[in-house]
Amino acid sequence: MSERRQLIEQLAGDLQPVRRLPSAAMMVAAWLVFLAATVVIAINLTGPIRPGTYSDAVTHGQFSLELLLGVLSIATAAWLGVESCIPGRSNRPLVKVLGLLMAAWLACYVVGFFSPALATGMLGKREHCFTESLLLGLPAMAAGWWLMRRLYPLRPLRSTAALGIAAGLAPGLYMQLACMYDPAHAVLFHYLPGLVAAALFTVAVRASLRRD
Amino acid sequence: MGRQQAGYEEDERRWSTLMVAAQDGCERSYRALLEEVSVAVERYLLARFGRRAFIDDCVQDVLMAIHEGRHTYAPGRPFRAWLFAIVRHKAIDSLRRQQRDNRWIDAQQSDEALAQPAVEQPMETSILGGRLLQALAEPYREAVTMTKIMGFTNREVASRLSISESAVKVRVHRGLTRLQKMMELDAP
Repeated sequence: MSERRQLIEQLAGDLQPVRRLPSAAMMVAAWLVFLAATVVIAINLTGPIRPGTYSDAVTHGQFSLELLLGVLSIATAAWLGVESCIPGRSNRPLVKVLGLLMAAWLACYVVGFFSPALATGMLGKREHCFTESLLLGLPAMAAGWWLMRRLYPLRPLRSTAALGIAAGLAPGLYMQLACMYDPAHAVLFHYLPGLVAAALFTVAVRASLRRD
Repeated sequence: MGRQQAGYEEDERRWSTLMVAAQDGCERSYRALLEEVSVAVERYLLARFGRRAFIDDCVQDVLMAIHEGRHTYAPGRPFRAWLFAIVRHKAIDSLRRQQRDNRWIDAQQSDEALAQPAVEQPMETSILGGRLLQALAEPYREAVTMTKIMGFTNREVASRLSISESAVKVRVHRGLTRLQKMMELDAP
């Protein structure tokens, strides 16, 4: 019997029924809910949020746009992260959409350096916003790693980076509502730590995959 | 063309049905699926890479990947897209591994065997066959074929092509990336 024939017999002999996956949309939604819940609850528990922030979010168009692009970028990164863990799903369009959204989001902050969306100031400044932005995405990153292991990622680094970026940037986005408003402060103290956490997460997953 | 398309569609429907049954634990359907798929995957790889030593290993890798990832196939979605995403990934993975495996085999050989004159396959014979490899630009094709298929080390290839070792590495990396992209565009 040829090796291939033996392998087929062995695999067929080992066959167990498997539970089919929920839809990708369902998995993305569940992960995003977990991410939003951990970030919002933790930030609200660790300190007060900036006064008047919710009304600013709906009354100032430029600020609303910043937030909207942030939410869309994070959701798209999460979608890409999950979809890329399922063989046969085309990720190229999602990668392009994510690139465009992130570029537009970044452009908002570049514009904000010259023409801020809100009056800049120290109102609402949180003492530990850097550390919070660094750490609060970690539970969702761990959940993302767990989810990836249940799926079958053919390009695990792409999946990890996408989920890491989504989880890393979410605390920074909520910090835009919770902490003082200043585009330079947002980039350095809210988003940069999240990106560092995402990079560390990707490195850790890569190391773990090499060990496996 | 229409007949081929009808054949594809028939395969698609049958494989999808067999896979759904396999997900529910039907051993007979699973065996039938693996047998049919292994033939299709072998043909696919032969058409693209020519007859190579790594193809049989690659087909077995694909079968194991199907087994490990079978829960990710969603009934109602195209089975071919799911299957050939795995095949493309495993083919490139097998090519990447080739040099490592060849080095390991070399290390196992005795000094006596090494002392015997090496039987070298003419370059042209090795490069021909497999339309995907033929479609690669010459510098990449040479580098990929010599390192990943013929089993030369980067240093040996560098000396034969009169380029630096790092240039060989770059060519191999780019060649494999291009092969991967070509396979994605060439999806059946």
